[in-house]
Amino acid sequence: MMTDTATRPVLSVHGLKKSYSSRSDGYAVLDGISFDVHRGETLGVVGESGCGKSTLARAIMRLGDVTAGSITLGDEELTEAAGGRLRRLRHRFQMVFQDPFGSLDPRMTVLQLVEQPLAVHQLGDRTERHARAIEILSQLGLDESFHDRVPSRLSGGQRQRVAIARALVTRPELIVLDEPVSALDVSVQAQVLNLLREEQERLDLAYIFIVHDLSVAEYFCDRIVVLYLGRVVESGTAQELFSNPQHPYTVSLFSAAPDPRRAVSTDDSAPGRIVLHGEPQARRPEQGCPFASRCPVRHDRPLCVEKAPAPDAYSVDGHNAACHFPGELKAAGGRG
Amino acid sequence: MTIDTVLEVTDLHVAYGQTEIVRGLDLRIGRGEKVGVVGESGSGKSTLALAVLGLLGRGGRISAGRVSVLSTDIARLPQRRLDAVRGKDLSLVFQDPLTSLDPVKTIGAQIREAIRTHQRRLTRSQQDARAVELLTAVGVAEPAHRLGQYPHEFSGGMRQRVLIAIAIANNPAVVIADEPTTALDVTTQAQVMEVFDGLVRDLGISVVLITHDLGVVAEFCDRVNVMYAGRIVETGPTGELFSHPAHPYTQALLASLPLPGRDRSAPLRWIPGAPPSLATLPPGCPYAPRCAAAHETCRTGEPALATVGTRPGGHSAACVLVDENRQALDTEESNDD
Repeated sequence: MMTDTATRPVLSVHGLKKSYSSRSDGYAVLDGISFDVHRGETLGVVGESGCGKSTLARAIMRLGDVTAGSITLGDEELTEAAGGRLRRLRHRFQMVFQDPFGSLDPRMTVLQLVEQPLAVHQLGDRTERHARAIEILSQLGLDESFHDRVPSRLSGGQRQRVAIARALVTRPELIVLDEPVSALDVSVQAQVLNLLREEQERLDLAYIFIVHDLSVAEYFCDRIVVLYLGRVVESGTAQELFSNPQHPYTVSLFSAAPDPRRAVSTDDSAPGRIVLHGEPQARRPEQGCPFASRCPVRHDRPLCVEKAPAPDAYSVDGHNAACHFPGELKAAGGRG
Repeated sequence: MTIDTVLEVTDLHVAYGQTEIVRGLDLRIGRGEKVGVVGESGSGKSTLALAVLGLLGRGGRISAGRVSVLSTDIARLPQRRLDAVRGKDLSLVFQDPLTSLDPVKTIGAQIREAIRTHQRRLTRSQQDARAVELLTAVGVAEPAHRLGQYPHEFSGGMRQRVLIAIAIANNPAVVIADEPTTALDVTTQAQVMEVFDGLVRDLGISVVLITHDLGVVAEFCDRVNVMYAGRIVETGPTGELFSHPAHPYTQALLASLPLPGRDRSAPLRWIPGAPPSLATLPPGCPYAPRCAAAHETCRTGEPALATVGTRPGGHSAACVLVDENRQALDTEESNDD
């Protein structure tokens, strides 16, 4: 699933800044976010609540304006698109929400729900729309017996499949998946993840996957960006990030994830848990590294509180970390 | 019931109207034990918690069985006597720390209220001193200052700590925690689970953790109970159950997890179908319609829990395959003699 870097990315985000304040110097919830997503690739976005994950998803979907920076879909600049032009672009980038109970109109049938995006974007005539909706539903394992059901007569997994069908039906290039499996039971979660991957391979789709479950992120994503208080603190391939994390925040975050294998392992080689003290403050400090106040290895170094590290302070083969002292914290070797 | 058993549930049946949600369940919690109850939505795990606490509400009732807390059967206790046990010997931490706290009362007032309910003679300053002690025990910094604050001034993790402080205000023997970290980030979850660990280690409190998260159970619990369709289908020491799951349902659940290091190119295993409706249970094993290993016997009688393997520790599973394997094992052993 690795992509040729010579081809143009499906989506390119550069220097993205988003502030909810009307003042020009207001606090930026997202501050200088940059990344590319290529065809057939999944980019994972991980971080704690308040890090800006959902704001990022909304910004990419153009739900509201951005303060600065660019979001480019193919050759269209989304931040400049508005009104009719934006509406005509929307079928190319779709979103699947976390809550399959709140995101579907309870009065519409499954078939109506999946035909609706085509009608809204005026794609095809009535017969074509009908055929296309039936086709996509059957690919997702929802046969005729489901067509006339309303959402209340579906299980959580079936609802999420309908939501995915709605996103896929317009043949988008990019889908933003905002925690698409976190409301589902594990056995159903596995089925939905398999379906998402099958469709991605079949259609060469690009996914942006907002996720808090790190084992799902490791399994499903090709590349990952780690957000902390509105900034990317580390990015790289999933394999590289999970095997060789450099930023102390990434190391702590990954070590905090509960791991069923810890029940079985008896030796001390299993990664130890680093329990971070405190919770993220509401805002980044005026100066210095945003993670300095919680950092387990800072040891009151003046540099960390005085100067914010550059996004590529550590940069090796596409693996970047915004840390003055990368790689110092290791999770392995007992509990920190 | 031995002196070291703090909570014992015996053949518990819970019904809403004509439908049985919990269908004959046994559970024994020892002093200072950390016991997990895992299951998917609809398995009856939350109903179990509510039944044990006498919080079933309108329509729900314990139709049979016993719930003994420190040797008192509370299943049939009148309301007033139940109130004397609940919150004192037995208490609860819910999932959502925002809706469990009153937004217009200070944290201090809410903790004092919990203390006063069971310890009426304490003066206001004694109550405050106890509240500070409780907040310190659950790791809230500057406790005296924070008593005067309101829930909205606390983060999610801090609110969950306050709820734990309220739950342990009267030195209970058992705390039942229903999905206590589901709404929290993994970093905060790790902090809250450390608080629970501290309750067991420092105060000798037993914790029953009800959750869907197999990872949290694996790390926290001494014993695990897996629920399916209102019954425990497998129980055992955590390490034993995770390394040698015996029930096909437990095996399938563990196989569906995207575990770190799992082959990314291979699709995940998932369980076909959906859990059965408890109103119209199929005959035989309720998991049989979804079970890859099911055969004819499975559709006739519902299997009871049977011991797995030969090691001590109380690992058992409710599956005919386990029973057959065991018989095979027994034959082997007698041949060895």
